[in-house]
Formats: sequence, structure tokens, C-alpha cells
Amino acid sequence: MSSRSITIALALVLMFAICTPARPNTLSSINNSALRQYTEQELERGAPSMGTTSRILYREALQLLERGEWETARERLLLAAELSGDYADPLFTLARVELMHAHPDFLIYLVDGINRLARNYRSQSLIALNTMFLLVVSALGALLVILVTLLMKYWPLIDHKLREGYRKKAAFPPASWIGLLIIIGFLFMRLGIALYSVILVIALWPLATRKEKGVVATLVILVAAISFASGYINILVPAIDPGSITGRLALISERGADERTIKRIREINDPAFYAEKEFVLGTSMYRLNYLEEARRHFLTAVSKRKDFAPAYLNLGNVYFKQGDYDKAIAGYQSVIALDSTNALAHFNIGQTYIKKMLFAESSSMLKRANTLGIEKYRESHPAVTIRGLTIYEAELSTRELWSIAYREGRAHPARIFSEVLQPYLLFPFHRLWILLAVTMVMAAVVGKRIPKSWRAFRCDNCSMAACPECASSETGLHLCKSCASTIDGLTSVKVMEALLRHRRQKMSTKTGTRSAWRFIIFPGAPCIGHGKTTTGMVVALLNVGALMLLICNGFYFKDPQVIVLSTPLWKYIVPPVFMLLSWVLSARARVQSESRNYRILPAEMHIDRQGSKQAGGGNEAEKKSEQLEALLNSL
Amino acid sequence: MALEGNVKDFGLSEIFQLISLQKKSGMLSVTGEKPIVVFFKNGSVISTRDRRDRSRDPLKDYLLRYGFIDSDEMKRIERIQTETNLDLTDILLSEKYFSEDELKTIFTEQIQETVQDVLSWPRSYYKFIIGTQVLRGITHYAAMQVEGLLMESMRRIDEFAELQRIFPSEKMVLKRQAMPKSKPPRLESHEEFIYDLLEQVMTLEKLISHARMPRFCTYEALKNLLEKELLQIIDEPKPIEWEESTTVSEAKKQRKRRFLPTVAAVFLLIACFAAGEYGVPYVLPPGWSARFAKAGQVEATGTGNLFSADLQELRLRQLEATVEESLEAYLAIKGSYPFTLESLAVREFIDKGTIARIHQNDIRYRIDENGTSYMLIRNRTR
Ligand SMILES: [Zn+2]
Ligand SMILES: [Zn+2]
Repeated sequence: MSSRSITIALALVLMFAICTPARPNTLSSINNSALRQYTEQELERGAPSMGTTSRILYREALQLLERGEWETARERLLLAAELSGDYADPLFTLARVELMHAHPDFLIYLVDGINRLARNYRSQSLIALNTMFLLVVSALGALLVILVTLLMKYWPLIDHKLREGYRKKAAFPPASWIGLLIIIGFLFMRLGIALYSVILVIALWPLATRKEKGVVATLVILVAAISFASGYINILVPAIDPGSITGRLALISERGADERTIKRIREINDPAFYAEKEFVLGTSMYRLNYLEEARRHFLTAVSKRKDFAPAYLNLGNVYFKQGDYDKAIAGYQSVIALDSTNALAHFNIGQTYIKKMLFAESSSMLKRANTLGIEKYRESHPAVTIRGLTIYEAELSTRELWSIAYREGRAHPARIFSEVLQPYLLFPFHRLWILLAVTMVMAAVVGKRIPKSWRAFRCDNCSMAACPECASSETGLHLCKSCASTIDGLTSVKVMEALLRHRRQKMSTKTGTRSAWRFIIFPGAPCIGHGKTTTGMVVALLNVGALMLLICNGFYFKDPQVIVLSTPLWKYIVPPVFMLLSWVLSARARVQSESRNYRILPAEMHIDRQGSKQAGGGNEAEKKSEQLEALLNSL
Repeated sequence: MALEGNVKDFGLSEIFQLISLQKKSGMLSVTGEKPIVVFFKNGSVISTRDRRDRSRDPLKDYLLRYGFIDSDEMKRIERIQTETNLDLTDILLSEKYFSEDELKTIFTEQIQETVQDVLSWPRSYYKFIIGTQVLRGITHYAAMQVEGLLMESMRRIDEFAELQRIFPSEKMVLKRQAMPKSKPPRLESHEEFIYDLLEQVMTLEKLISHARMPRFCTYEALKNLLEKELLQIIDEPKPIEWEESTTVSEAKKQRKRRFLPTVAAVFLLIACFAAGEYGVPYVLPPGWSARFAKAGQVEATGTGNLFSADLQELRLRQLEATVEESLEAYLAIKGSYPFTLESLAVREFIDKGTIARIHQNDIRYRIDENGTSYMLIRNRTR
């Protein structure tokens, strides 16, 4: 070990001698001497961008901002952004600072930041993973909220049949307890969200309206689709796993070739990633200027993967450094043969031509490199400019890392969502789609096969629960037992109307106050309770998402490199405000009270009844008069 | 000649019609819920007041019942009555309680109500004594045609049943609603009177006793007000249910009957809990229960099921990465690695929670003498 450190130290000294000194302006603006020294060392170790330094500066800037020294903070932020090619946070903070000071520059920083996020493998996969997870949690949460709301809405109907069925069998415990006991029993079983959802879907399907069924089906399909694809979501896991092969291979573009990194990479022993491992090791050796060792690694890499362009390029670089320009050009040419739009290869050939005094060829090659976007490479690799390198080295591109992650993820047996959701779902998430498919089929069958007498409904007049067994539809309306008995045997339609109205109003004031509070369990629930189903679903989805963000203090899966400082206040304020707003909005969704002249009995009854009454009366009168005649004669 | 019989055989209304058709005079006494007499003169009803029975004067009851005269006044009238031996109607007129027209209306309404009462009895015994001599000394203010009287009574009996459904209890509290400003509904005089009375919130009982009209008319006016949305029934006290007093042995039996189902319900709940505790994890795939996901146990099963173990490994790796990152930051600023991880927390490179998690997971930190390299050791042998 000590001999290794000596060699590294020697290498550092060598590199110091060879490399042009760092550009004074950039690094000298770091005022902490230890940090400056560290950054210089990182550069010497070949770090393409100074992530650690950048993050330290960013944190300092945040602390300065808290103290209100935004002028200094802005300088730090700019420096932080300049030193790292893929760290977006300083740019976003800069945008915020500029916006607060009403500078139009903020837009440039914002776009720049988004650009950085979008081109970086780590942030790409992190955002993708978190978005998927947020979607899953929102969909599952919204499904549960909607199902619970629907259960509350239709509970009187379910309870009615339970009571009716039970009342025949026993007197105690009271029939009104049975529904509650069943619910408590189910809760005691702690079946997990998955099975509870399944039970609720099957139980509520026959009762729900078409719109409600549609909303439930939409969410179920959404969850099932993600569950079906959870094997593919697995390819995003390396993004959050620092110990994954992808994570370790990606280190090469994040930091210099230090002992720790090299050791990590040497530990990879999966033969499927042998070529990539060799490439990364070669690059590390190249950075430490162990050119012979680097050449060996690169040769092994290209022998394992014939189309491995970055390895050819860096192999060319090794030859270039060794002064073997023809071999170097051969290496670069094989890169161009694989990918004719490779800017690095063109640039490096151009630089090699300069060494070979072929200036015309060189200039055309460098021009080609320019059109192919060598500038972009310089932007995302600040070290290149700071160190003033002649030739540029290749790393694993974002696409390359994605393909590595894909291969690694597909081979991985674990499924990240299944693991994270396990304690709540109590069911393997990656098999949930099967369960949900079976559920939908069962729900459809149950909905079709359920006996007619079990189909409870709401009384047309007072909207209390009723069923074909106890309701009466004599009047053309489906009336519950109580409503039917209030108008039983009456003849005057007006009186019936008045009696029904009286009962209706009595029941609506009785249940109205209760239901107004009953649905305030979660934003979106009142909308569903009052029939605005689609709005309810959207509100519920958004709110579960917001709640999730609030509880997790941002995304669920976090970048382990990001050092969490104090959470900005808006993170605590925005989601609750949003939730409160949607709560108020959904609580306002109420049914209007009925109009004064509302009549419930069918219009033809108003005529029918009177007619029949007169006819009946006529008959009776005839009979009576006959009897009277008889009595008269007897007197 | 007398006509008598049970109302069960013939409806009383037929008897009334018979007397009316034959234009008879006489006295019809009906004994049902209480005894009542109806005097006929040439087939018309003239009175229901029996002079021979002073204690039971339907007119007096009527006046008291509907608040025409309060009980103090009535006592004064009664005193006059015993002193002068005058008829009640004479006193009312001479003391100017009512004008003759008013008395006539009251008199007819009272007859109407009495007849209505009589007709509504399900069974009764009747006896008709023909002759004008029974009419001697009867003061009367109206001669009511039987036809109209019967029709009105029948209507009222019919409709009263319906009205009682709307107003099932006289304990109901009534409140009037404000007259709508636009297009106020037209009110009959009865309705207007009731509406005015209801300026105060009151029970139906109280309203009836102040309404100065027969019970039926009050009900009818209320119904019309309800239909015109001018009336609100505030509170409908529940009919008091008289609980049957159960004997001791019966109570014992009932307690016994309640005991078994309660035990069964509690047992079922416990069974549900047990099923959740032991059954559910058993049914689920291995390692899938929340309660069995503790780290040690998962590794102990060693079935190659990596789910929970994998997630834990992932979290450990992330934790280590966080620590390494902050160690690197410390090195960058201080020039060497810290001696303990705690100094990271002191310098705010890392938060206290992370340090706690490091200790929780038993991750050790070792640094070499120069402070230029370190090791994070996972202690897995706990
Ligand atoms: Zn009803
Ligand atoms: Zn029923």
C-alpha cells in the first residue's frame, strides 16, 4: 500500500511537470487555500469536473444567502457552476437570486440548469425513478381515497342489506352493529392496501355509477400498468445505488483517479461488464500517467468489445502521450469508423496533425470538430479549459451508462418499488397487475351475477337505503318503507306531495349536516361524494402527490451526494397551501337544495287519482241509496 | 214510534238522511264514546244541546276548547247561569260576548263538529224519538240541511285522517315562514288568522286552543299554509315509548341471550386479529410481511429471497455514500480527514440524523495516522 502511494505521489509530481498550470483566474477565486489546493489535486488526478469543490462552494453560497450577502453568494454560485459540468443546483439558485433581484438573467441560468439536469445520466435516472414512484404512490393513494369515499357514500346501502339479512337471524348484537363489526374485523386482519383495495373494488362495483366505475378502472389500470412494467423500472435502480456497477463506472466522469475509486472499480467482478471495467481502469491509469498499464487495459477492453469507441479514443490518447502519433491517429480513426459524428475523435486527430506539422489537415479536422459540437464537451468538462489540455479524453457517455444500467437492472433480481411499498401493500408490487386483473374480472362477474333482491338503492324521495324486498313502487317511484307508509292509503295527491316533502326535508336536514362533514376526510373526497368524480380523482391524485412530497421532504429517492441543508420554507408552505386550496374547492362542491315548487310524484298521478276517486264514490252512492229506499219502505 | 238500532247494521248517515227525507221532527240520541243528542225539526238539524243535561253542554265545551272564552270568563257565565236560570246563548248575547251573527256561526260550527264526531265513531247505539214535544224549549239559531251537513262531515272525517298524518302529534312545534316578497300567496280568512296567530312559535296544541275554529279547520288551514310554504314544522317530539317493565327472571333470560352473541362477536374479532398477526404473513410470499422484515430474520432465512435484504443493503450503500461525500468535503476544506464522524456533524457537513443512522447500522470509521486515508467498516456480526 505504501509503495502504491509513493507511485501515485510520483505520478502526481510527473503530471505537475507535464501539465500546463491551471488557469489562474478560476481557481484563484477560491479563497479557502485548503480547498484551492484540494481542487488543484483533483485536477491533477484528472477529474473532468470538480463536483466536490462545486458542492462545497454551493453550500457556502447558501449560507451566505441566508445571511443576506447575496453579492458574494452570487460569485460563489457562479464559480460552483463553472467548476462542475453537471451540477445543476447552483444554476437554479442563481436563477432564484436573479429573479428576486429582477434580473432577466435568471432565465439563462434556469435553462442552463435544466440543460444540465437533462444531459446527466444520474439526474435523468433519478428524476425518472422518482417520477414513476410519485405516480405509483399517487395512483395507489388516490385509488384508496376514492374507494374509501365510495364506501362511505354507499355504506348505507351495504349496511341496509347486512341489517336486513341479519335481523332475521338474531336480535343481539343489534343489527346496526354488524356493519361496523365487519369493518373492524377486516381492519384487524391488516391485509395491506392491495387486498383492501381489491375487496373494496369488488364490494363497490355493483353499486357504483358508471362514472365512478370509470374513475376506479382508470386508476386500477394505471397502477396495473406500472406494476406490469416494474421489471423495466428496475433499470433505474442503479441511479440511486452507489454500489451498483453503473454507479461505480460513472465515478470516472465525476472525480479524479484516486486510490479509493480505483479500488472500487477493481472490485467489479461481473464478466458482463468486463470491457467497461477495463476501460474505466485504463482511463484511471491514463490519468495517473501509467501509460503502459493504461494501454493494456484499453487493449483488453477493445478485444472484449469491438465497437467500444471510447476505449479506442483513449487508447489513441495513450499513444499520443507516448509520442506514437500514427498509432494515435489509427485509434481515433477507428472511433470515427464506428461513429462518424464523434467530435472528440476529430478534435484529437486535429491536435495530432499539429504534432505532425500537418496544419492544413489539422485545421479542417478541428473545424469539423467544432461543427460536431466540441464546445459542448468543453462546457460540461470545465477541467479541460482550466488545465488547457491538448487532447481530450472520452468517458462513458450518458447513453453508454443507460445501456449499462439497463443490462445491470435487467439482471438484478430485486424490484425497487416492490421492496419500498412492501410494508404498505403486503403484496409484491410487480405481481399486483395479476391481482388487479383478476379483481376487475371478479368485480364484473359479481356485478352481473348479484341477485336482484340484493341490489339496494336509494329511496326516490328521502334517499334512505331501500331494496326490492322492502321498497314499494306503487306510485311509480321507488319509495322506502317509511316513505311508503307515510302515504299509504291516502288519496289526495296534494297531501301525499306535502307529506313526502316534509319527510324528504326532515331526512335531508338530518343527513345533510352529517354528510357535509363525512366526506372531509381527504381533498377530492367531497367531489366524489357529490358526484363530481373526475374532478375528485384529479384532486385526490395531486394531493396524494403533494402529501408525498411533503412527507419525504422532496423526492422519495434522494441523491446520496446531495448534502441536505435546511429545507427551504417554500417546501413546507407550498404543498399544504395547495392541499388546503383543493380542500376548500372540493368542500364547496355541494348539491343545491331543492326548489320550492319541486314535485316528486309523477305528473299523471295528479290527474289519475282524482278521476278514480270520483268513479269509486259514484258506485258507493248508488249502493247506499238502494238500501235507503228499502228502509223508507219499511217505515 | 221509535227507530233504534246499532250503527254497525246501518250507517248513522243513512239514519240522518232518512229523517231528513221524511222531514221528521224529533230527537236522535246516540250512545257511543259518549252520549249525544241531535234535535231535528222538519228534517233539519237545529241543535245538539240537551236542555235536560246541563252538565254536558257541547256548546260550552266548544267555546272553551277553541279559546272563544277562557275558563275564568266561563266561571262568571256559569254563575250568572245558576242565578238567572237563563240559557247559555241568552247570556252570551245579553252580555255581548258575541253578536247574533257570530253566535249563529259558532252554533253551526259546533253542530257540524258534533255531528262529525258522532259519524266517526266506529260503533254506537241510536234511538230516534219522533214528535215535536221533545223540541220544546230548545233555542236554536240555525236549521242545518242534513245533506250539506253530512257531506261536509264526511269530507272532514276523510281528510282529517290525512291531516293527522301531516301533523301526527299535537306536541309539534310550529313556526311560520316569512311571506315571500315577490308574489305572496293568497290566503283564506282562516289561514290568515292562523298565520297571524303563529307570529309566535307555538305547539299545535296551543294553537288549536286559541284558534277560535274547529280543530279540523285549524288543521286544514295549517295544511294549506304548509302547501303554500308558509309553515315550518320545527320539532316533532318523539312519541314516548313505554318500556314494559320486565320481571327479574325475564331480565336474567335476556342477559343470557345477550351474553352468547357478545362472546361470539368478541371471539370473531380476536380471530381476525390473530389471522392478521399469523395467518396473513403465512399466506404472503416469504419475507413479505411488514412484521417479518426485520434485518436479522431475513438474512437468517437465507432462501435467496433478496427483497427486504436488498433494500436494506441499498440504504446502507446510500448512507455510506453520503458519509464519504461529506468526508471528502471535510478533506477539501480542512486538508485532512476528521478523527471522528461526530466532527462532521459539528461542522455541519452532515446532519445529526445521519450520524445516528450510522451508529444504528454499526458502521465504524477508521482513520490512519496521517489523516490522509480512512476506512468505513460495516460490522455485520451483530
Ligand atoms: Zn324514503
Ligand atoms: Zn330492504
